[in-house]
Parts: sequence; structure tokens; C-alpha cells
Amino acid sequence: MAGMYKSIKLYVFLMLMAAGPAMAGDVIVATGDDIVVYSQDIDVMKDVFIASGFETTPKEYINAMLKVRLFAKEAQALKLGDQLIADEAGAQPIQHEMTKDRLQKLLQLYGLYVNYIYDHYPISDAAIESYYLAFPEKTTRSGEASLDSDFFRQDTLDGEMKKMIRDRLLQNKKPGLLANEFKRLCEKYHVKVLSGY
Amino acid sequence: MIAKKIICFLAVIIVVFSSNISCALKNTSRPLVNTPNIIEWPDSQLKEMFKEYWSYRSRGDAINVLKLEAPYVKAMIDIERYSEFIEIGKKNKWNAVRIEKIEWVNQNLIMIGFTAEVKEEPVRAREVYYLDRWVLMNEKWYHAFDDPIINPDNDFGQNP
Repeated sequence: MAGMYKSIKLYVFLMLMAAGPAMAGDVIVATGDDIVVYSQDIDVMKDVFIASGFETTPKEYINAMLKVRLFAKEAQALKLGDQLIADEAGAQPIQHEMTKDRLQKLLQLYGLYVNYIYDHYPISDAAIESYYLAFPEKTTRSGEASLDSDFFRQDTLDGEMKKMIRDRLLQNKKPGLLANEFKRLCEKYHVKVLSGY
Repeated sequence: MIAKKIICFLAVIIVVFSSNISCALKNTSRPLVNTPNIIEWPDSQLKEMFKEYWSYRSRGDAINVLKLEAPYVKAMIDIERYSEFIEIGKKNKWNAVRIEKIEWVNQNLIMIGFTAEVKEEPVRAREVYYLDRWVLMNEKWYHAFDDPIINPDNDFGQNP
């Protein structure tokens, strides 16, 4: 069974290699389980970055692409997105070409998984309630940022307020959560960066 | 010879006496540790928690300080950044704390204003005013670490 599995992996690998560099200079820059990132993929990612007025280092472009691919992969596994989006984005590992359209689909899945991470991060009711009680000037319905409120508060800690406070408490943690998840997925899928871009 | 002995004796007397004077001056120049006759604590638990919290805080003991923070603090902070901030206290020497005011904001929140005489080596001692926030939840007082310190750019709740 293990031998058969290895054969299949070898077959997939050879198929990917056979698909080969579509254009001169296209090389594999990173691999992982069922993931191959080509230099042309990075070109597409770079174009998207530049179009939004943001440029960074080659290493960061590769990391960004890997993060998108890994998070999208998890989103697909959890069936978070629309099936059409998942199918089109999921075709990428076999179909070599990365297009802007496919990248947009992957980014949608990436966004869904990011929200999933935030939604599932544990924050206790006590944490939310204590923030609500400690900062009446930030959690009043009137929206007036003032401590001069009634001694007995009129507003209540309802679902909407809980969500706002939860978001607030998570705000500082978000970059760290995503970085940790990226690291975890790189280990899970044995990601290796093969060459510079 | 006798004159020399008298001069030496007088010199010793002067030195001892002057050192006593300087000690006395130092003692009287120290600010009061508290002003219990003026400030009335709304409950003894808050007073104890306040003293405990600032005792740890002035020593830069981040682990024990965090235990006395409100639950939201533990949920939202970056522990390394928080510890670095609290451990700054180790560099300073707190000579005295003077409570200036204790005010209820609402039934669950109290603000305590106090002045601390803090000595930052090698700079001479200076007085620092703190406005401290304490929250009452389930009949227990917690220190409410100020949110803007955790995230100065926060605009949460300003435009709900």
C-alpha cells in the first residue's frame, strides 16, 4: 500500500515536471504535499501586489503565495467556499498556469480560512464581559466616548456588542495567529522553498 | 596636645551631629506613603488588590501582575510585549505612593488617581501621576490595564 502511494506521488511529480516550464525561465520555487509553486505564479502574485500599490522582497512574494495556497487548501478541506470557487482554485496544483482569475479565487478561499481562524479563536465570556465593564466609554450604545455615563448602565451586553468586543480583543492577535498558522501548515505539508525568485 | 584633642573631639561631634541632621532632613522630606485620613476606600478588597498589584508592578513582576489583571487583558495582550512593558519597573525604585482620589464611574468601575515618587537611576526621583482603572466583576476587583497602551491606534467604539 505504501509502495503504491509512493508510486502515485512519483507519477504526480513526473506529470508536474512533464507539464514543465511553460515558458523559458519558469522554475519551481517551492514545493509541498500536492503543492508546487512556479516562478510564474510569483509573477502573477507580484502583479497583484504592485497593482494595489505594495511591493516587497522576493522572499515575501514567495511566502505570500505559499500562505495563499496553504490557507486555500485548508478552506477547501473544510468546504468553506462555494464549490465552483473551490474547484477552480483547486485545479491549480495540476494545471500549472496561474492566472489572475485563479489567484482571485485562491484569495477568496484564503480570506474564508482567515475568517475561520478568527472565528474559532477561543475568547472567554469573562474576557468579553470584563472589557465591557472596564471601558463604558467604548462600549456604550450612544457612541459618546465619555466616562460621564449613568451610574447604572442602561445598555446591555447583547450579541452584537459581544461580537464587537470579541473583534476588538482579537485585533492585536491577528498577525500572530496568521503567522503561527502559516508555520503550522508549512510543517504539516512539508513545504520547502527550493530557490530564490 | 590637649588643644589638639579638644579640636578632634569637637570635629567628631560636628560630623556625627551633622549626619543626624541630614538623616532627619531626609526622613522629613519623604512624601507620605498614604493619606488614610483623607481617602476612604470603598471596600477593603479593592485596597488590598491595589496594594498587591502595585507592589508587583513596582518590582516589574509581570507574571504576578498579570494574575491581577482583568480577564480581557489576558485575552488581548501579546505576552512578550506586555512583559517588556511591566519589567521596565525593575529599573526604577518606588519611594512612595500617595493616593489622590478614588472615584466611582459606575457600579462596576472605579478610577484611582495616585502619585508615585519614582527614582530612575541615575536620574533623581520624580513624581509621576497615575490614573488607575479597576473593574468589579462577579464581586471581585480586577485591574483594568489601559487599552490605549495595548493598542494606541484603537478607535473601537468611537463610531459604532
